[in-house]
Amino acid sequence: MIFPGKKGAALTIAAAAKKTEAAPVIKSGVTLTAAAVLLLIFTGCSSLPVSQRSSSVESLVYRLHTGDAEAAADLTDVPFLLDGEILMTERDARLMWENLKKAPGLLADAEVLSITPAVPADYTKFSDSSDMRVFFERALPENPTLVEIETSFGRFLLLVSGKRLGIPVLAGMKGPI
Amino acid sequence: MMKKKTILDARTGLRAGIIAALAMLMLPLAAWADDALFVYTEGEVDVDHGYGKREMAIIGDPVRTGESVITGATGFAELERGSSTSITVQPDTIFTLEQTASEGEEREVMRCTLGSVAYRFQMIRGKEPYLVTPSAAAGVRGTEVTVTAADDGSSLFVVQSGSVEVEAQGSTVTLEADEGIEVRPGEAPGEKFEVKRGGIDYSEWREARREAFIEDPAAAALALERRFNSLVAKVEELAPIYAESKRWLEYERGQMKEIEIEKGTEAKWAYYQENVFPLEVESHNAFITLKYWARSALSLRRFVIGRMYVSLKSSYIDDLENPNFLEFLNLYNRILSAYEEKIISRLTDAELI
Repeated sequence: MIFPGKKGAALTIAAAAKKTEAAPVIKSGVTLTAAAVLLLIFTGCSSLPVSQRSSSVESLVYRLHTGDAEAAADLTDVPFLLDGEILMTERDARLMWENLKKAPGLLADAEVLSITPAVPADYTKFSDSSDMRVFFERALPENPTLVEIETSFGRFLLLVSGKRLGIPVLAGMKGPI
Repeated sequence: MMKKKTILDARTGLRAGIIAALAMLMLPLAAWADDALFVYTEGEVDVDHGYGKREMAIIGDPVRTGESVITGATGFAELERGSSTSITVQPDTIFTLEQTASEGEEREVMRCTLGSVAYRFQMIRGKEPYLVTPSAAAGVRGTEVTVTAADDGSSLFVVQSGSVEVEAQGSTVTLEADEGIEVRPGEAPGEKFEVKRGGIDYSEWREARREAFIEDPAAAALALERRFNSLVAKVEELAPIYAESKRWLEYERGQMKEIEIEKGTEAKWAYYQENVFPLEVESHNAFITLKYWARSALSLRRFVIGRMYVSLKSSYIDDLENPNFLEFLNLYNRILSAYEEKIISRLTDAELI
């Protein structure tokens, strides 16, 4: 996948390298700047899990919106949460998406409002129940992240994890909240 | 002479202690001996070990008491236990091995919460297993039977050979070969019907039950609430029996310690055999029976009511004020309150996920 941020940064660095040939005086300064930019990009990419990178999360939401029910179910992990429910089978995920896809534009123009790592104490954000407490304490997926999105149907809270081939997957949804 | 008696006391005590320890050890060993093994898998087949630990099933893997087999849309699995039992798990099924106790003996439970499972029992050692669904339980005798559980909690039992006793809401019906019966949640078994070989399309039946629940979600939720409440009633009936048996056990263990101090080790072990061990067995049986009913309630709440919720919430996402959905939501919240208040305390965290 090509992330807009990465592509843009690569062009800037190439342009900076070209300029250094014409103006040797400022060569070392530009090289340093380019190196610093590269370092920032790479440290940024490697330190944040895929589920917490805004471009990856936006890409997931876009794919959930544009894909058909089967594609959306493929991007949904099991077990997954819907409000206070823990759904254990892939059929549950498929049923959910088959129905949600009948509501046109559910995720159209979805705007990501916030991305924060999920911790066990966040269980009440889904439901103040024993099931949810145990799920958040014992069974959170890899790199769990809470994502708040605004849609034309209202605000939703998503639980996103990042374990499948560098693409985040949906592990829960609550809303509209 | 005195010294010799003490040694004899100690030997007798040691022997009795070993026997008692072995007897207690036999309980988990019995469960281990009843593991089922995967002999064939196809498509997505997972084993849920509890605590959210879920792994892809591989041929040769065991399924132990308390574990579930979950098949995906194209998943299919065959399991065998020894040479006497074979279990076929169809796609989109949740199948769990559990245990309970009846008439003072442990009894295996094979639970089909959603989907379809075919069983073939040849020679059953000891007590025959219970085949359980969200709406009914069945005892079997030398049987081939297919059990299907629909999204609305209804179940279908179809007997290929042998006989099956299907029990629901205190009413029992005996099925013979080529007979079937449907059981709706919260109701007694329906009328039995004749089945021609290959004459039932289980997926079609499941789809019809699903359509009925989508058409009238409140009626379906009300039926599930009745069933759920009957499970809660069982838990509430058994909880004081278990508590009482535990209290007696603690009291008798205290008595045993005093007897050891007053009369020596031999008297202690004699007291243990006569008074404590029977109570240990009774308490263990009361405990696993209580667990069985609490897990039945959990299973209904998690898999059947959970699927109903996801189906309805996602169907009504653009019309959440629809009276149909609101009526369902009201019943759903009532069931959840009862679950949180009366069932959760009977389950461990490992059982919840």
